[in-house]
Amino acid sequence: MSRPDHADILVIGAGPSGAIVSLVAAEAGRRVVCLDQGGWTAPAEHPHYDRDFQWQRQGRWHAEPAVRRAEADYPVEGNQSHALMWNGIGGSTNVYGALWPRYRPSDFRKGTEHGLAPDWPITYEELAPFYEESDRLVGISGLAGDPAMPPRAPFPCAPLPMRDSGRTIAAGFERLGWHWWPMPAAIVSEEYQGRPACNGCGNCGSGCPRGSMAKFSLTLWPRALASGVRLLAGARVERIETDTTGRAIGAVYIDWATGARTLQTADVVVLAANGVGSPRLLLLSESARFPNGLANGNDVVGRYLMHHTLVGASIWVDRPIASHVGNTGAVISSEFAETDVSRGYVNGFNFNVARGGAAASVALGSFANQPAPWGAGHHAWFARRFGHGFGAFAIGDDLPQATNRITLSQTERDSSGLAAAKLHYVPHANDRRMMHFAIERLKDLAGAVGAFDIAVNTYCEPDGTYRTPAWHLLGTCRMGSDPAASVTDKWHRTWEVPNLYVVDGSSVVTGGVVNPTSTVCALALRAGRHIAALR
Amino acid sequence: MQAETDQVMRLADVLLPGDALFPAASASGMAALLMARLHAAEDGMAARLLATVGEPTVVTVARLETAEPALFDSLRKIVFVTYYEQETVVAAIRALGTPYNDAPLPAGYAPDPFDPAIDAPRHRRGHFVPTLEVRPVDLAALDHLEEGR
Repeated sequence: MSRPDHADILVIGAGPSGAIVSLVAAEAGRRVVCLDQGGWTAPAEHPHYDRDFQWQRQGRWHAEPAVRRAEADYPVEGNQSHALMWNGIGGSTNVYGALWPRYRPSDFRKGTEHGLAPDWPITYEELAPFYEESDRLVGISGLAGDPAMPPRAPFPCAPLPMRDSGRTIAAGFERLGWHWWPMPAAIVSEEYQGRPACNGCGNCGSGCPRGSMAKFSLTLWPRALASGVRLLAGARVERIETDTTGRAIGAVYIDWATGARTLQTADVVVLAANGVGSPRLLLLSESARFPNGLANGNDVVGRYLMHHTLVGASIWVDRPIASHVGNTGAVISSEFAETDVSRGYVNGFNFNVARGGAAASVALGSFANQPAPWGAGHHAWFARRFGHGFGAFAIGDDLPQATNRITLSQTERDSSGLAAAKLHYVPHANDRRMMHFAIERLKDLAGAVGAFDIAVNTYCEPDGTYRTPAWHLLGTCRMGSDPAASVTDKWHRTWEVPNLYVVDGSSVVTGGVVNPTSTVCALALRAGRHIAALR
Repeated sequence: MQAETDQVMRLADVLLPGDALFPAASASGMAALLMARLHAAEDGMAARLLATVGEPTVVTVARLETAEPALFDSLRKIVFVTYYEQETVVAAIRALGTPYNDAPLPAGYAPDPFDPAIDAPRHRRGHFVPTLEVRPVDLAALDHLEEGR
């Protein structure tokens, strides 16, 4: 086994959080090595320039590894949620919607509020400066002044176009007297740091080869590399190694092009492999000293998986609104974001209202996954709906449950022979109540926009199994104040291994009611500064 | 081989017949690509479909949808996606009066910048609970919360 030069900091995973930690540590003068099992995705590889772009989204550009089956991916066993992710440089920013709302102050205080989740060991106010800095670093478009959120600095870029679709949706919320606001997004509405303004191509779901959307391999990584980070693609970490004192000494990785194994040593190891990959790697790193997996003496690693409750609907209006044009995220509504027990549940949800839908997507059922009829009625159905519809989604704060968890598969392995992850997730009764309430509010919205049709997606199978696309893989190595009930302290340092940090979606304590990447990035920036200052 | 293609296209025409606006599947120019994708999806898929359906009609395809839902879903997905990327079909979509590019880039779509005078919310609705004002809520009426306690 070869041993390259020792690093100050080894980062495992080159997604958003790994990119940010690597960048700030390198800019602070630290020797940083970052490993990622996937590779680079060049702009020309994206499907945007091809007539068969929708076909490619059914295969090699699908967001679910189980469908995509790329060699860099690893299986996620389970018949509940569909775990979505991209294994490669830039992580899931290669295929995301780039919605960029923030958590709210009460998200950090659910222990105080109802006690079914712990308080975070930090507050919104402690994170707020890092939200601001992250927004400038990533390049965020939006409109300040939202009464539903704490005051904030002006956004780096003006809001993205509302277009007819956004205005129609906003008018619906106005009629209901509900809160709405232009969706903040990691997509630049104007030239920003050399990146061109979004041209509204409407294919956000396959990433953005122009760099208008913050695809981190195009935006942050070049700066990190220029700062001296040594980034190794195709380097699949097999395990994190520890010494006889219980400190991490580095990680063994497999170059899956050659099969060669290498031990990369470092003073500090930062795990940034997402809410499935990070617990998986800790569990794979079991040893005589850590028989339950690394940093898992309390059996918390992998538990408390959250990925938000999700219900949605396709909603169609008579007026053409060219809803296949523009960035995905149009409008956000925080009308139901805070707990109101009179609704019959704790926690809350936001509405994300989304554009989208090239022709084949519409025919296949758009957001509701209810395909167009086949046969004589097909074309009339299509003509009435194409460019006339939008998707409304209720993103809910699911309760963290110890039984919802990531473990190691006993049956499936990746292409290197490493045990796959296994995912178990069943919504809490509170989550189901919230989803039922949200479905009725989706119908209210459809009525308010004058919809001629709505197709609701409960993501429930006929047998009752809740099977939702799970982008937001959260909570499985949560931070906390209590070493018995958390994996890391408030600086993301594991309680059991003093030079091992976990910095990604697995770090969060509660899921909030919004897409989490802005919060993951703010946390990574905060942690990165702290780790870079360690001597 | 041509016979198989012809029969598959008759099946595709049952799913997507032509009308005044849109071409039938068999007239869209998709035949070769459809056959290639069916073969790529599953070796022998076309033959299995044809063996199951027999002569493609609305009745026999409906029977396939009921009897072999997974196979039918695969067929429908491949047929729909292939059809809607055909030049003839893109032209039909444009004829509906909507701008529609055959590929998202490089062109994108015409800019329509955010206009604060039109697009900025005028309402002052919305609230949040500040950190220091988060208080315990009364859970007495929420008996379902016993789960997981």
